[in-house]
Amino acid sequence: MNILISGVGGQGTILTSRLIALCSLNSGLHIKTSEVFGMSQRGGSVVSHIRIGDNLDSPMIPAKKADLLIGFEVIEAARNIQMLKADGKILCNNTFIRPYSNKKQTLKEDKILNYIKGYKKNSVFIEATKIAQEIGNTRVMNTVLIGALTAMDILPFTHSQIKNAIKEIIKPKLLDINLKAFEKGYNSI
Amino acid sequence: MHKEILTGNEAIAKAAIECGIHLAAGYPGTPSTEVLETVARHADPNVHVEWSVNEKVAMEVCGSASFTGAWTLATMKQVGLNVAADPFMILSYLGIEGAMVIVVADDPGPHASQSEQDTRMYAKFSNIPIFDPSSPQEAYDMTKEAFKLSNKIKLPVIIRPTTRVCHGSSTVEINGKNDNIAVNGFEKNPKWIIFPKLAYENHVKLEEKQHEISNMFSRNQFNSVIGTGRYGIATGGISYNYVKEIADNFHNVSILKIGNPYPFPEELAKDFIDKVDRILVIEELDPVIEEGLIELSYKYKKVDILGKKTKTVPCAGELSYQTISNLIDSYLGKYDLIALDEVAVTTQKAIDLPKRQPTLCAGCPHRASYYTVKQATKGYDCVYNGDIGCYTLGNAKPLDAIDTCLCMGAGITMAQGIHHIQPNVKNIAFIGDSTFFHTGIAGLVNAVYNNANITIIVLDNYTTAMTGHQPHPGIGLSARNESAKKLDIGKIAEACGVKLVRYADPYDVNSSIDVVKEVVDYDGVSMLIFERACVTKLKSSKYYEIDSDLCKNCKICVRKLGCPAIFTKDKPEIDSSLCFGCGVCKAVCKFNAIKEVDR
Repeated sequence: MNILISGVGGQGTILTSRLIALCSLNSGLHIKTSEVFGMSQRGGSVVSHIRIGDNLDSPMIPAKKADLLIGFEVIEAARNIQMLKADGKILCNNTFIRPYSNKKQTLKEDKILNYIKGYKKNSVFIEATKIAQEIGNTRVMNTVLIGALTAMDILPFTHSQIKNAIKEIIKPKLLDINLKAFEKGYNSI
Repeated sequence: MHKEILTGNEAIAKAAIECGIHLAAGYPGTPSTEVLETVARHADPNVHVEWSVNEKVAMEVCGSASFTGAWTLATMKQVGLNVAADPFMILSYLGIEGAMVIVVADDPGPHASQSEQDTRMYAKFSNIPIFDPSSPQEAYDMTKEAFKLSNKIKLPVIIRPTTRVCHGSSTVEINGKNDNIAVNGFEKNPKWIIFPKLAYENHVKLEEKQHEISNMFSRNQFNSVIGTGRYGIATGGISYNYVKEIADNFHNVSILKIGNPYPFPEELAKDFIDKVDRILVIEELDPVIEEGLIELSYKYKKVDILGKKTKTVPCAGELSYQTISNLIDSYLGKYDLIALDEVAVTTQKAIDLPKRQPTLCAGCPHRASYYTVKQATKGYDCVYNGDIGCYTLGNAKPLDAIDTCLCMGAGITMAQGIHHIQPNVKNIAFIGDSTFFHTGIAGLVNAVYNNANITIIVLDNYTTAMTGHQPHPGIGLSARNESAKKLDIGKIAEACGVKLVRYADPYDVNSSIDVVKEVVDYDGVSMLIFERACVTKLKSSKYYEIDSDLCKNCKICVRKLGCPAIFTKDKPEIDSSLCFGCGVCKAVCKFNAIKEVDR
């Protein structure tokens, strides 16, 4: 299974890819991930590649081979949607982070949303940032998305496997709010 | 034995710990940083782990420690090896006693570097053996082998992971047990003192060793020939994975996989050349494997070699899965094997999307500092010299606050060069706190001694931010997060003879402007230290919003600051989820339209 995560540097894509990797390890599945740290983490476009299964050599997903695209932000989801397979699926956080421009913004949000919906009729959008804000910390947006994915039953892991991985990976101080985010995301689908 | 999910960097660190290292030293640099961080987190307390002030220091600390019989690990990124090149080139002559492995991470792309230099060339240059891992598992296995080899041949050995290996992760099988290596201590001997006569003698011995090491590499598990086809493909490092996955579809291919590009495993490569009719060489950056094969082909058997020298393979940048797939398809002339249904999943055209460049974070104190300096020096004839760190991003519009950027510590020295030729131009040098300790101090001493009229502006955010918040001598913490001596940048400058040292809070824009004017107008070397913590680890307690009734739509907040939290629809607005609450936009607003809101 090939999973692509796209977003903006600083949104927590790396933690999500680590969480999926940990679930794979706990289930005895082979996994390869690839991401870029450093300069692009400062508000640039970021992509994580995750590949689960045997006999995988490349850590990068070949073009048109992604089974799932997790969009942390709409523009970055649209930028990577062509990586999906014919029957690939997309879950997207319905939030725009506008790239800086000192001219009047010409960003046409509807056009981008329609492009994604036209490309994949079964695209799923959830208000992950809003849900995270309501819970009290925007940064748990990634855990809301993981909850929604669990409800969509796309990942090869059960609700309790994913929950246990969250308990294993998240610092105790932030665990409660993340578990709350996970359940809110799960129930949003 | 058990399995863990590890990045290449973590795998190297865990292997080094298991080998029983006594000391590790490095300087942060993407993509190498997490190697030393992992050692600091997991090694026994009796292992000395340090963030050295720069790579030259790390190399020398590791080198001399290994003279005692200790096993040591030095870590850096590729350009860090330039800083450490002086001790590195001589250590190959001098040799070591215990074991010394140097991790040098290369960055094809480049993703986060000033150059695409290839450390395999440094291996050839210095006659130091090198391992080039293709995966985290191999990074782990190679590190173990590299320590053994170093101990056996009494030379430092390089491990050279590239970005995709460093930051890629996979299931890695590890041993989990740490070896215990005894250290005999430093024995006095003339062999530790390099002199021209010894240099000549050791140079001869070093050259003689190369053949023996090459033969070892021909026989180890990291170099191999896979398949029996007449179409040869030679590859190594991360590219091997793409080649393997793509070439598995073809039966007429032989792959030469090179895990030790120097000394080139000639015996193995000779067998490969014998088997094939022609060779395509797929490797990132410099044609190192290609040159090894060309040399062999010249000596043994004429064979067509396609690669960078024939302009078949791109000479720069990362090689993607798709690029390699296209290269192999056209090499084998088998276009019909491409699954056409996969190429044409959809005919819908991609739409134009706005580009998203890296930018200073919302609330970043550097944005405020740059804005202030530009405002204060309006009307001055000024050159703004930049340096390496997050703050290099101050070059982008609208801040537009950097005119030169070369390498670590060069802002202060380049300001001097321009000043001596154009004394009437004001030269300002920006430098970060960690960079100041890395290579800024020598330049500062030079400026005072050689009477350069420049202004040094230190952007002190109390951390090494770009690489992920490593401590440095200015903040009172060690690599292990224990308390350490804290050195004061302002006092160092005063001790070096800087007569005017001032401090300012970047968020306090209006009073900082006068301080900037004072230091820039000063005749001689002056220093201003902007002090404010990096926001990436801080929780925001408030945000700002724009009252659209009071806003006159002058857009000064948008046009001057370039803050990612401020955007324009009909009038400027602030995205409260991105706003950190620094209040700099409120300070620049002339109509008092921006209000503070508690979270």
